[in-house]
This record gives sequence, structure tokens and C-alpha cells, in this order.
Amino acid sequence: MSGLPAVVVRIPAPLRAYVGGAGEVEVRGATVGAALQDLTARFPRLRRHLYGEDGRLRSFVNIYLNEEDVRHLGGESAAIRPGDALTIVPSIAGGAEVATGEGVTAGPPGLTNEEVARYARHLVLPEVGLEGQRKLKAAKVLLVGAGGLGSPAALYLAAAGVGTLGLVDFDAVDTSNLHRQVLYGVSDVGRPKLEAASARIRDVNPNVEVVPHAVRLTSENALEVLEPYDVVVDGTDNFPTRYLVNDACVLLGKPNVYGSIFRFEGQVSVFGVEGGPCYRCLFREPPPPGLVPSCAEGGVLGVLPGIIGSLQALETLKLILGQGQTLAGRLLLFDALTMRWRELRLRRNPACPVCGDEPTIRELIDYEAFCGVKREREEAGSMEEFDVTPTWVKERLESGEPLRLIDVRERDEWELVNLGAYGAELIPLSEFADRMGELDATQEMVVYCRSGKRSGRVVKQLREAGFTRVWNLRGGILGWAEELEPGMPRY
Amino acid sequence: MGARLNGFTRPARAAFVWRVRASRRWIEARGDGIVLAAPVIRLGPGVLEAVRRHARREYPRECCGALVGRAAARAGGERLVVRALPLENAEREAPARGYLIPAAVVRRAERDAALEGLELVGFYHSHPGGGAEPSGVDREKAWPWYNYLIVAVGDGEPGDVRVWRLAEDRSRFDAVAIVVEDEERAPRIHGAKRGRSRR
Repeated sequence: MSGLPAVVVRIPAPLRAYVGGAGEVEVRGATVGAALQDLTARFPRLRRHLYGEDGRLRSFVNIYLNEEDVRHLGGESAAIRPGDALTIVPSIAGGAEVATGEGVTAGPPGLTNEEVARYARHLVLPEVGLEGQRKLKAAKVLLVGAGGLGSPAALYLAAAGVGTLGLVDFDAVDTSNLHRQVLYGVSDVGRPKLEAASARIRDVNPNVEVVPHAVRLTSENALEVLEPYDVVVDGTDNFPTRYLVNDACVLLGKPNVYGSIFRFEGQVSVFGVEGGPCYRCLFREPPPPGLVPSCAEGGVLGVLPGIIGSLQALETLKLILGQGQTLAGRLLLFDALTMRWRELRLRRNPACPVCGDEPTIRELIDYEAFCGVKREREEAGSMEEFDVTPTWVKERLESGEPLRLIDVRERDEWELVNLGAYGAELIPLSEFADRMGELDATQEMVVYCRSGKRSGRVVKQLREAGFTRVWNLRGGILGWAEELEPGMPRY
Repeated sequence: MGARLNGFTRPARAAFVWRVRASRRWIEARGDGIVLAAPVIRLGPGVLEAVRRHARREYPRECCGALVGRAAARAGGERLVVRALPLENAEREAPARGYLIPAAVVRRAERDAALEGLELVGFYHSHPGGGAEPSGVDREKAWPWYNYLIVAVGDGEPGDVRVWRLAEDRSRFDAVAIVVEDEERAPRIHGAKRGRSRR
């Protein structure tokens, strides 16, 4: 090759990426054609842009030898002399003819200038890119519950550019929410959650349309509320709503991104996806009421809902983008104390009453009855006959009447706040059975806990055991604080 | 002291290897090692209006021209268009259904732009009676790297505008996000913000 004349080839901007960014490349060849062959041999990725499938130069590729179009010099057979320069010059052509849209990545709504700047880190990811970002903008996601799980999920989904976020919640912000529900701040306490959440989400991303549903989700309204959305994120804290959301999602054919937390543990999965399992395939029936305590009773570590809710948001993005493998068919378990993740394989149950091959549930049912909540509430109602008010108790104690005040909460709850000043004694529920001997059936007694629920069960059992003078402090220590001592700490 | 490999502890080495592999996967994903430009094009003030005017004037024939500006001026391969340069449609046989900018014209436009320190970052053309999506012919004759702006013209009135770039394997066009730098709009946005915060 060394005997052949060297020639400089000037590379136009569109092709420079294929020659390492250079504007000029030196090649060898006796003719224009040979020089171009040498060029494409050295930079093979140039070939498909210069030559058509028939092996001939593409019609819009023009080669100039020095200042002359080689077409006027005999084409590719034109001879080259040392010191000559070849220039590749594009001509530009096209047409409206057969604008089929074939081979085009088209999609839903475009992005504004501000959105392009905002989502720049998304746009450089090939898995998201412009098309993916437009999918996110067109997507509608419903968050059931704007609490511990809903907070991080809503913030991240809004920040990521999900166009429409529906929120279902009818609660007001409580001080005890603030340790984990990062959507809210001190100034929001007492405000309806939806109002505070909408304002916060708009601050995060004003391009997001927030649709508030200030309702309790019921069998009557669930299908209507869920219908307009593409993905449902389950951040509920009770079994009736969880089964309701699951069944509604299966009936409507919508993916249900499930998350749940308790104390130090969390679970995440994706239900309601074509061919995948649903919540009922995993838990066919709810646990008996009272067996699984709520977060209010059992507690929850502050950061945990942030982790689980963020994972739900992540799975939601993947579902919208159609990228990666979702948790459909897998249950992810997280233990914050040991910092370990476990994964369980889930299969769709062909005998599942909702998503099975022959479903028996074809419309929404009464979920409170299904979960036994109504029965529990009725029982709670019957306990009221043994209730006494905080004022009644305080008056009796202050007038010096003999009355034992028994606290059945756990020791650390006692440490937080107690009625020791009124002579209250601590017999935690966990030790109650062993310490029954300390009680005298002839004595008048008032039992209390945090809210009156646990102590109500204790009173009922004591009455059945023959303690006829035992009473339940209505509303527990919270009721006491509300009625008598507003300055007392509450939890 | 844990076992050391090349000065790394085992976990540190594993973490390093993981990071290198992730980077390599990323580079491979960008396609043949070519830096994938973030698909964004900035249109300077008046560019879009000039293209629309030209499209309206030429209707029902296709209009065409060059987008003059700067490439790779910013990280991520964002392109900037300073102005639209209207060029004559040299397609003689069916100017309503095609356009042609001959090499000599491209070359001259390139040199003129270079005198100002600018370059041709793409081209525009209209689709009379069609959409703003590229046709099969557009793809067949497209160059990589260039931005192809297409304006749809229905009933003589320019409508939808989209910008496209040819995929590396020539199999398709990818959409490019358009950022319009509009002199008039910016102050209006500021005004709206001030108005809100006062309330």
C-alpha cells in the first residue's frame, strides 16, 4: 500500500463520529474508488452511510476531488495524484411521499422547554429517553392512601414526571403522622391531607395534575374511582380496603403495586398483571380481626415506609415505561433490623376466587363484613356498657373513694405518659395472665390503655371471669388528656 | 487484615469490578461506542417563525432550508440553531412531494456559516398535506447526526413541528426534543410568577 498515493479525505460533520471525530483522514489509493474503499476498510461503520445495499455510492453522497465533483471527472475511477484532497459533501433530499410514519418513534404529548430541562437526567437514559418521558407525562397513577407509603410514592412519581396523580384519602394530618409521612409538615397539622398533599406536589412539580378523591373507598365507588387510571398504588393501612383495591384492580385489569409495612418489616409486589398473581392468590382470606395490629398499635420505624413507598414508585415507573422486570410474581420482603431482603416466588392461583380460571367474585363485595370488621365493631359497641368517663374517674379518685386504677399498656408506653399521679398501677397486657392474682374481684377497678381498645377487651374478660366491679376508661389515656389535661403528651 | 488483591480488599475489589462492568454495559448500550447525544435541539428566537413563513409561502410545494447553529456546544450533544436559512427546492419533477438541496448548495451554505463560526446542524422541510413525521423517502435519504425538522402544512397553514435524528443503524428516526428560545415568552413567565407570589 505504501507505494500508493496518499490522499486527504475531508469528512463532513454527520460522519465524523465514525472516524473518531476527525475532520480529515489520510488514506491511500490510485483512484477515488480505491481511496474510498481504503477509507471504509479502516472505518467500517462509515460503509452503511456511504454505500447502499447494492454496493454503490448512495445517490445523496457526493465526492469532490479537490474542487470538482467526481461525477464530472469519470466517477470513482478518476485517478488520484499525491497531495490531492477528497471531500465528502452531503446533498439533502426527502419527500412527503408515503409519509407512513413507519420506522418512526412517535408517541403521546410533547414536552415543553421547562420539562426538557427538568427531565434532562431521564432523557439521557436510553431506557427512558424522550419517548419514555412522554409516556410518563401521559400516564395516570392512583395512590390509595396518602400516608406513610403514599408520601414518598407521590413525591417521587411527581418528581419523575407522571402527568396525572390521583390521591384517595379522607384523613386530616395528625402530629403522629409527621415522623414518617414526609408529604406533610408542622404547618399542615389539622389540614385535610389531600389539601396539604396537593400543595406540596405542585411545589415539587407544577406540571403534575393532582386529582383529589376525598372519599373512603367503598364497594360502591371503587370501580368508578379507579377506572380512569393506568396504575394503582396500594398504600392502605387496613385489610378491607386492601382486598377492595385488589379485587377492583383485577376486575378492571389494572396493575396494582402493593406495599405494606409493620414495625420493622415491609413487603412489596406487583399484582393484577396479565398472567400474574393477585393479593388473594397470596392471602386468600384476611387474618381474624385484632390478630394483626395496625401501625397505630404496633408502631412503625420512621424510614421504613420511605423505602417501601419508594420501591412502589419505582415499580410504577417501570410498568409505565415497559422496562425491566417488575415484581409481578415475586414478593419482596425487607427486614430493616437485620437489613436483609428476601424474595418469594408467587404464582397465580388457578382456583383464586377473583383472578382464577373460574372466578366466583365477579363484582365487589362487602369488604368490612368479609374482614370481620363489622363484627368487631359490634362487639366493641357492646363493651360500652362497662365504660366510664375520665371525669367520673377523676372525681371518684379525688373524693378519696377506693378505686384501683390499672394501666394495661406495655412498659415503654408507661414511660411516655401515665396516670401514676393518681395512683395508677402498671400491669402490662403481656404479663396480665400471670398477675391475675394481684386483682381482687370485690374491689372497684378502672382499667385503661392508650385508646380504650385493649382495656375494653380486658374488662370484658374480667367481667366474664366474675369481676363485677371492673370498668373501662373510655378513650383511654388519650381520652383523659382530651377531656381533662390537654397539656399531657399524646402518642 | 483481609486478603488483599492488587492493593484492594476483596469486597473493595468486587465493588470496583461491579462499577466497571456497569460502566461497560452503559457504553455498550449507547451503541458501538458512539457517544449518544442527548436528543435535544434549541431553536433560537425567530427560527420557528421563519420556517413556518417559508412553508406557508411555498405551499403547496415543499419548502426546504438549512438550520445554522452550533453543534456540541454543550455537554450531552445538545444542538443550538441560531437561524433558519431558506434554500431553493431543487426537486424539479415533483416539488409538491419531495425536496432536494444539491451538494454544491450545501457546501456553499456550510462555508458561509463557517465564516461566522457556525455550522449546519440540520435541515428543515415541509410536508404539504402530511404529518410532521418523516416519510420512508426521508429515511432512505437521511444522513446521521443531522437534525431533520419537519413542519406539517395542512390547507396552506403550517401546524405541527417535529425534529428527528436518524438512528445509527438507519432503521428508524428518533424524535428530538425541541426547546424554543422565545424572547417574548420568557418575561411573561416571570411576570406570572411574580403575580402569584404576591397573593
